[in-house]
Amino acid sequence: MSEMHWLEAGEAARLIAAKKLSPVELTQALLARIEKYDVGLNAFLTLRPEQSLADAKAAEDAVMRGDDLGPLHGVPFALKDIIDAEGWPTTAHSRLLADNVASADAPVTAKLRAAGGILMGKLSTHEFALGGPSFDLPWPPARNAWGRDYSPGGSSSGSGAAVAAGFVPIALGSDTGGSVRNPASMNGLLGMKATYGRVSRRGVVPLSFSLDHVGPLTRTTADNALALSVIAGHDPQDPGSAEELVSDMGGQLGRGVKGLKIGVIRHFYTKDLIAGPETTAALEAAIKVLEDLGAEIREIETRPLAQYAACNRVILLSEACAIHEKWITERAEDYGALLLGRLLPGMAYSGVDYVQATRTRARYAAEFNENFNSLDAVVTVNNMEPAFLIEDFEAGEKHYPRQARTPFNVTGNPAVAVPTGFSSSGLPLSMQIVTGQFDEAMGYRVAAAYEAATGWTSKHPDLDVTAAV
Amino acid sequence: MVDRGNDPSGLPEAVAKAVGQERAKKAGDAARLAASRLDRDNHWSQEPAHVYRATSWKASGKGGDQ
Repeated sequence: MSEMHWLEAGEAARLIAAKKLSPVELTQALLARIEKYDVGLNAFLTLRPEQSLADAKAAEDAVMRGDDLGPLHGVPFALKDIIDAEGWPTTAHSRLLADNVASADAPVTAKLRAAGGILMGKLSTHEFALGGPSFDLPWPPARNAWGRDYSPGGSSSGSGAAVAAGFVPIALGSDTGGSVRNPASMNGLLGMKATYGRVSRRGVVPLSFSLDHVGPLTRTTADNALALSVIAGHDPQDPGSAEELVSDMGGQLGRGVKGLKIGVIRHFYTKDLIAGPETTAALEAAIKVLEDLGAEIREIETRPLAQYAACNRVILLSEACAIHEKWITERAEDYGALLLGRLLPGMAYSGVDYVQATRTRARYAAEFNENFNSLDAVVTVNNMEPAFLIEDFEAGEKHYPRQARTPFNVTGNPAVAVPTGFSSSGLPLSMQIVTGQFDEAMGYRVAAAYEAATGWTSKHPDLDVTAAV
Repeated sequence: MVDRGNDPSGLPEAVAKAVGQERAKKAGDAARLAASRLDRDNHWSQEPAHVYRATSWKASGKGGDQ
């Protein structure tokens, strides 16, 4: 079988169950690809090829025995290195946790393994899911599979790079202010931040308890729905976990968008911030595609981006500094300069600031969710520009605030990043599809219809060109 | 233990000492800017959207005294 590395997770699982694809051969092929190309991309921090191959052999044995197989049986996956896997390091890409080894699987890891997934390794991240891309850490930053001189976004940087490069079909990331949807945007991937509470965060190094979400990055909508179906569900030991039952996330794929009412938030990218012309043109073209497919498009207004951003920032950094206070005081020199600089404002907010932000959050969430009394989904911009040059510090500092992701960490709504094509320089562009609480299936429905109409997700980088060292 | 006495930057003194005055001042300025942009127009009865709600105690199986 040629090009096993571009197989969708769902298709690989079907071929494995039908004994047409060997999990061992698939794992070997992906490990060989990682060995050949990751020297230029730095997506992985930890690989254990023998362990992954042993797990793949066990998966193959189960197939041959005729065991009941999970939906990801024999399918490789990888984890952002803030997510625990028993016996593996969890470093958060930081000197502070360089020697930390997980004593148990996080529930999301355990669920992927129970579904039959093969853990391939732990992935680069911005330090503690906030500070990056940084060059003063024990490991180099991940780079973009579409051009190694560019940032892959973050904070789930390795997750984006690894999936785009064809190293794994599924990687998990985390999203507190957009850290799944940013690398999805910059690597031409689907990236889902599900409803707050939908996916357990236990066993995941926290950044901000009340804003953290764990979510999947994949190359296709169907794979993303499959991955979220596996990892979603109530965790009684995560205080933020929702008791909502998990439906089939992919249950509406293929139903199209005809008759759906889709709102568009244009002021995020035409007034609050001005997006680059290629980003805007691709997004407006995507809206036209949805309209041509039969959706009814309505422009809507919400609060300005700056209000959501201030709310997100005060909560995020206050909670992050509660986690990091002791280390900041005692081991400040062990942080990367970028993370320390981003964390420190959290030490200066007052208790009143924090409580006001959490009160504001409740109000904003209630206001925004009223939209879904009359709409099925909302479309808006993701990043305002494509990826920036990774070694251009100033460009990175300008890039990160120029996005429209934080509103949905504040409101807790599901938001999925969906590729909308490429810039003239060949870098991926992206939009967000946002839906009502616990209605991730509708987001996937709209994404799948758009994907089928455009085919952006079938395009892949040529690593011999883009990742060459 | 963090010294809660505030440095002119707005950061706790112990933190400002640990990270240096230049970083502390920059962080304090950034915090003041974000705090000034925060929407404070909350009604007096509006509760925080906090993670620890009564349902959490029930869901977590832990006692209400935590």
